[in-house]
Amino acid sequence: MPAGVKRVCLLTGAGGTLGSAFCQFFASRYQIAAVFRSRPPHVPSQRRWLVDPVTGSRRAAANHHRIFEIQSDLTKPGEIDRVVDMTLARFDRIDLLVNGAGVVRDVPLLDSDRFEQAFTEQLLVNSILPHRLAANVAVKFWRGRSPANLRRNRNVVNVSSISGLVVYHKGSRAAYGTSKAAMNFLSCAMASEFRRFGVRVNAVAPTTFPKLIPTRRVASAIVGLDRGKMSGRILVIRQSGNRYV
Amino acid sequence: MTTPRFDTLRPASVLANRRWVKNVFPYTYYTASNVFTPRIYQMFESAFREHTNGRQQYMDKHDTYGVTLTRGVDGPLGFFASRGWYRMIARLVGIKATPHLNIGLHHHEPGSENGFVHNDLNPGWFVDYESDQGTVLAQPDLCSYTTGEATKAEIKPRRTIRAAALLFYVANPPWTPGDGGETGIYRQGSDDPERPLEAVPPINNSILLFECTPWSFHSFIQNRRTARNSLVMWWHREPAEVVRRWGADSIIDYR
Repeated sequence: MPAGVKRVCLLTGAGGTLGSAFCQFFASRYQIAAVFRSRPPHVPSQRRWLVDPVTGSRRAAANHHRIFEIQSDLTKPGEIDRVVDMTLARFDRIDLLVNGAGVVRDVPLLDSDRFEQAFTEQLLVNSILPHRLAANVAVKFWRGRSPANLRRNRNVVNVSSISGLVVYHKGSRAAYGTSKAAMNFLSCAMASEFRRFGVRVNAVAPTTFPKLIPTRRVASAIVGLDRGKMSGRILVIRQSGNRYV
Repeated sequence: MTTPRFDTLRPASVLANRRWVKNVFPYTYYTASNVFTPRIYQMFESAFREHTNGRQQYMDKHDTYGVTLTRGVDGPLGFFASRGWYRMIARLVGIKATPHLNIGLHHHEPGSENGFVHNDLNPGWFVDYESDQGTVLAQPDLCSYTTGEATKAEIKPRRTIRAAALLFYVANPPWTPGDGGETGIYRQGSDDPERPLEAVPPINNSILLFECTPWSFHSFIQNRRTARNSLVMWWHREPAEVVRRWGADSIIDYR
């Protein structure tokens, strides 16, 4: 692999606040396969580019670093296969998987039927799908490439939440927090299993963004984990600073 | 700080964002956020609230409340009827527009129904007049914009066809995913409004803009939690151009 070749990042939740920011700030650093369901990231891609409304011209420099967008509802059968196949067909490899897709549903525990429905949905999107996607990449690409994985420092970053580490007594976030706690645990277990073929796994657990901390700080933390050597760690991001657990 | 004359403002002097996104699938449409400078946006928001206070009428076809900005509109919202804004958008979209503009202020109550998937390739009727700006606004007191029915026998309405549609989201509460109220973008007219290909959220000071063609399918998506407000405007073109490009049967009369 020639030096200076951009790393390939498969990013889910690309249309969300964090995903959009990641694309905006780091499209120059990564070749990004950006997966979104219905709200695309507003950055240049094969389907959209930036224009100046006053002159009508393309802003050439701003359109230089394009993402490769993939529209997909990952809850649908066959979609994870399709997303991974498209990414590999486009870029030939995956160096970084960022599981950024997630849902938040506030439902009180005593509202039993709704709670169970919301809990099931959040477990699926926030815990099961990230695992399913990582396993799919591992089976299709990483499992038989230990030396290259180590050389390329390949890894997974799961976007969790501080709600998966701390029980908040305000709001009705029990289902959300539990789904993120499951994601934290899965991240550590995945790190243990993926070590066999040289792929690191970590998670970020930020507090509320952009209300309490800038979204860019969370996006930069993902890049920091990608560049590091740690595995099986959860990086907690608070107003007061970052720390690993 | 002095208040600017909005009808003579150059768009370049009030735009905070000149990096608009041109989307090319499933049809060409433009999106942009943080469009105007914060000061100008605040003036638009205040004027929107002032104009809509108790003046909007219920439109059952769209389950929305609306009021039309008409001839002589002044103050901040006069910017949207200005020559500079009219020309900039027409040039960006690439349409040969007649001077006619329809500008509406729309309000969806929380829990409004889904819209229906449609393309906006509809007629628009106007009564011509001379204006400093060179633009001509709809005048519902003289003729119906949608049917051309005149209020007096001597009025001779002119038929045009919508050429471009623009939504400017304004005076909305903060939006978060799950709130609804987006404008859905669709592949075809038979799509389910709840299942858009893409969805443009109603975030204040952002814009959705597209050329009206037989394929510009879009719809309002039910707003579950909060109200949705927007300034909506249409540019128009000669019917003959539409007939030449897409055929007479592509024009959908307002039912």
